[in-house]
Amino acid sequence: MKKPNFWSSLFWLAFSIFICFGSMRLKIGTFHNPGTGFFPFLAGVVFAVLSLTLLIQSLVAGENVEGILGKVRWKNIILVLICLVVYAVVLEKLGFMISTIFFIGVVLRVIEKKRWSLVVAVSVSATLVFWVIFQYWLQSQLPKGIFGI
Amino acid sequence: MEAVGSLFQGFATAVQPINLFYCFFGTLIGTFIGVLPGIGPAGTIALLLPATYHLNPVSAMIMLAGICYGCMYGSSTTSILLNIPGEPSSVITCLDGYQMARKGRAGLALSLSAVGSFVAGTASVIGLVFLAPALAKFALRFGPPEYFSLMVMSLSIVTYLARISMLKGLMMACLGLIVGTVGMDPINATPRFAFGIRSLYDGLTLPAVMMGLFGISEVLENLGAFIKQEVYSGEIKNYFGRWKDWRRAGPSLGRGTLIGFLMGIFPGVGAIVPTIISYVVEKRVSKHPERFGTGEIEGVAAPEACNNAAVGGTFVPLMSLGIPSNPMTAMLLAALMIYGLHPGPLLIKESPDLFWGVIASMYVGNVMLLVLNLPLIPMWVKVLKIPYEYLYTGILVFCLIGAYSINNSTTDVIIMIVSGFIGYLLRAFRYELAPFILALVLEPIMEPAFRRSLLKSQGSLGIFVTHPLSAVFLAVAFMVFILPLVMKKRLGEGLDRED
Repeated sequence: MKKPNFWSSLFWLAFSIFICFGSMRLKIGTFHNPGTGFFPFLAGVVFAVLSLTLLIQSLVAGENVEGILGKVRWKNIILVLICLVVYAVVLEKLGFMISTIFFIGVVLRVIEKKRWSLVVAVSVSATLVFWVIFQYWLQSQLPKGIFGI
Repeated sequence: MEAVGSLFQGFATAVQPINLFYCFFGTLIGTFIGVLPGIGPAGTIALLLPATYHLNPVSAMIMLAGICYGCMYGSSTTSILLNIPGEPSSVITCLDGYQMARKGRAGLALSLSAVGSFVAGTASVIGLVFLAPALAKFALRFGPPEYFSLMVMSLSIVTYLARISMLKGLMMACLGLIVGTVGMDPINATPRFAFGIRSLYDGLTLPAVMMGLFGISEVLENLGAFIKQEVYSGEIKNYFGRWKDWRRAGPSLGRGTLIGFLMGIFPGVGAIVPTIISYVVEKRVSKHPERFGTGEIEGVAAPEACNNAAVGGTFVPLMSLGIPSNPMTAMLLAALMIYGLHPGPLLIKESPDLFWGVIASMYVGNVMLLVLNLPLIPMWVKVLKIPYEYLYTGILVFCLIGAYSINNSTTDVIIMIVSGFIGYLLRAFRYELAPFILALVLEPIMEPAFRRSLLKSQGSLGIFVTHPLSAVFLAVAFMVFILPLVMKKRLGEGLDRED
């Protein structure tokens, strides 16, 4: 992306206007009796002014940073994000053991392209280690899921 | 000499076997994550927070404090051996520390850093003992307007010290304040910006947000980039150097400690800027400023003492005012609130065993670091050789389970993932996270203070300037805003290149 400040400030401007309208619906109240939306409204207005300043600054003075996010391995990032979200969704249904073995396995196999034998060995043993750490030592209640493990 | 008596009480608390264990464990974990790239102290505290629910708050805080100063030490190790700062505040150590390592003096650089940490840690404990209770006593007079202005001042200092752009720092602070309002209105319990999602009525779960911003987003950043790290392969020997070296280091250690502590106690300053200043001072004082950056002993000793002293310094506003200075102390503040304590001027009075116990444990912890860490350096070097793919998979699983176990809810996991991705984008667009986090943590204190002040003054904003202390805080904040317009060169300038 060529002009990070321009695009981001545009986004923040829209965001802050959204917040201001949202706060107005929550009732701003008055200075005598500030309401629920008073503080977010104030923060939203200041945010909008700052975003506008950045926007104008980037238009008038230009931006001397080189483009960002150009050389990024998006594939890796998207894959990891998908794995994370899937994990969050299935965790309570499949239970900690199965979800974690699959999570580690998929990350090591799909993103890092490790050998199958290594993938299986690492994901199973690491999951056991995590299980011991969380279940016994940190006394978290890990979800058991429909299989009861 | 009331303080000394209380401190002895504190030591009695700190040397209880259970607390000794947590202190040791905290410093060890701290050093470990300081050495590891990819997760910092704020993220680690967030991760371990759910696990501390069943501990007593004193042991828990002792451990979390141990993470803070342990991490400072660990990140120096990577700065020296790898030229990679584990934490931003040891960026400066890279300049001369890594050069020393390249000249075969890694051992000396590491022990300088260890001794520097110890000296500074000790000195800042002494400073804390005398300063924090006095400050807390003074702060008892603060009403809502003073508190509000104090927080405005802290936020303005944090944004001023933002290394990229003050404007963007301010924007992040506003964003933090807005995101902080998500959940119930503290005064009349109306839900705000929750979009009908029940789990959001209590607000965003702070530890989940922190794990996302400081754990997940860093993993994403590294996964997206094309860098390979190289580990220092030379042998590390001769830890003790020559007597001459230590005589040179002595005054620098003293100056670094002083600068670090004195600057660190200002709410909002944190550890990074004092460290830069201490390096600049050393360069000024030195007879051979041109040799800095080629492996000068003073260039390692001063910043190392400084960043540790600054950590001690940041505990002063945290413990006596309830004001954090950086994401790390923001997390400690959040922890105190979760344990049901009331951070602020009453903390020391209400929970003396916590305050004095934690302070004493900081001293004990520093001794442990000194004794244990030099022998452990070969182990830390091995830790560095863990291939990144295993490391980040581990960090991800830790974050996932950590976020889940905060409330046994998958909503928190989703909050963490979303914060992680947003954090990644913010970093990519060069927005700094520190002002955001601080504003987010302070919002629940700041908003009621603001609204109560207005109720008290019957709607007049004048209350913030007619109360003299509040006026002073606002004047400082105002000066901080004006400063960049007047002064061309900013304090944090030149750091962008190095990290």
